[in-house]
Amino acid sequence: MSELQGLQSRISDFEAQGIQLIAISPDSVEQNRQVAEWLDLDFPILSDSMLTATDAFRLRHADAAPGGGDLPRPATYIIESGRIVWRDLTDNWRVRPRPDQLLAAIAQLES
Amino acid sequence: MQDRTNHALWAGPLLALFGFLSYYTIFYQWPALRDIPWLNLLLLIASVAICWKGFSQAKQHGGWRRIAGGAGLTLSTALTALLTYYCFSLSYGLPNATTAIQVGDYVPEITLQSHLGADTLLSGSERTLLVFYRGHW
Repeated sequence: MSELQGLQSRISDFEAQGIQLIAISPDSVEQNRQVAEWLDLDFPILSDSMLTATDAFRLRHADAAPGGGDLPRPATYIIESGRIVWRDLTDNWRVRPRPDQLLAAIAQLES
Repeated sequence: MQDRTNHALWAGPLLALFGFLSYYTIFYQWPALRDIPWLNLLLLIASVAICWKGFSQAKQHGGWRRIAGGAGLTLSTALTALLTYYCFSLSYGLPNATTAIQVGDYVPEITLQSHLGADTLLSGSERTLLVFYRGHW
């Protein structure tokens, strides 16, 4: 959960760069609504319960959920005009890019 | 010699449990403590040292103290090994990402429902940060 909270804490910095935040989770719309409410998120969490987007990005991690079932591997993309301009596919599910690193990457894309 | 109270016998295992569980409940929230779990490993190593001290003292008394000391030492060592294994081996267990779409590719035209029920096109904005996360469980 810390990842979404971290993004929320810097949302004004992302908005200042003209960046819209979107999270995608394999949970249902209702579960996402509860999480967004609980964490007080100002950006949408999209429900990819059929793993449609996960498969389109080819991020499926088979049998990753504790009770069995597939999940997306953690991944972060920056998109400009419909094309991917930056990505981070961590090799360790505990380690995700921090907001500072993302903002630095965004600033570098502009230069 | 007087039968002194052996605080290390209970303090060691207690610190071991805290050192292990606090990673998943508290310290994972800060990337500096999460990416490399140095604080939790320090706590666990300290707990092994305290358990070792407790066990050494308990050996002189024998009986249940010796058994409790041995159990504490085993527990603290096992939890240290478990956290090390989780952080430096198990959590690298992600599938190969060579086929994942990459820089330069177009974003697939996919619409998903937001937590507020709104249909949202992934590439609908001029600039977007898209984060796949593994859900809440």
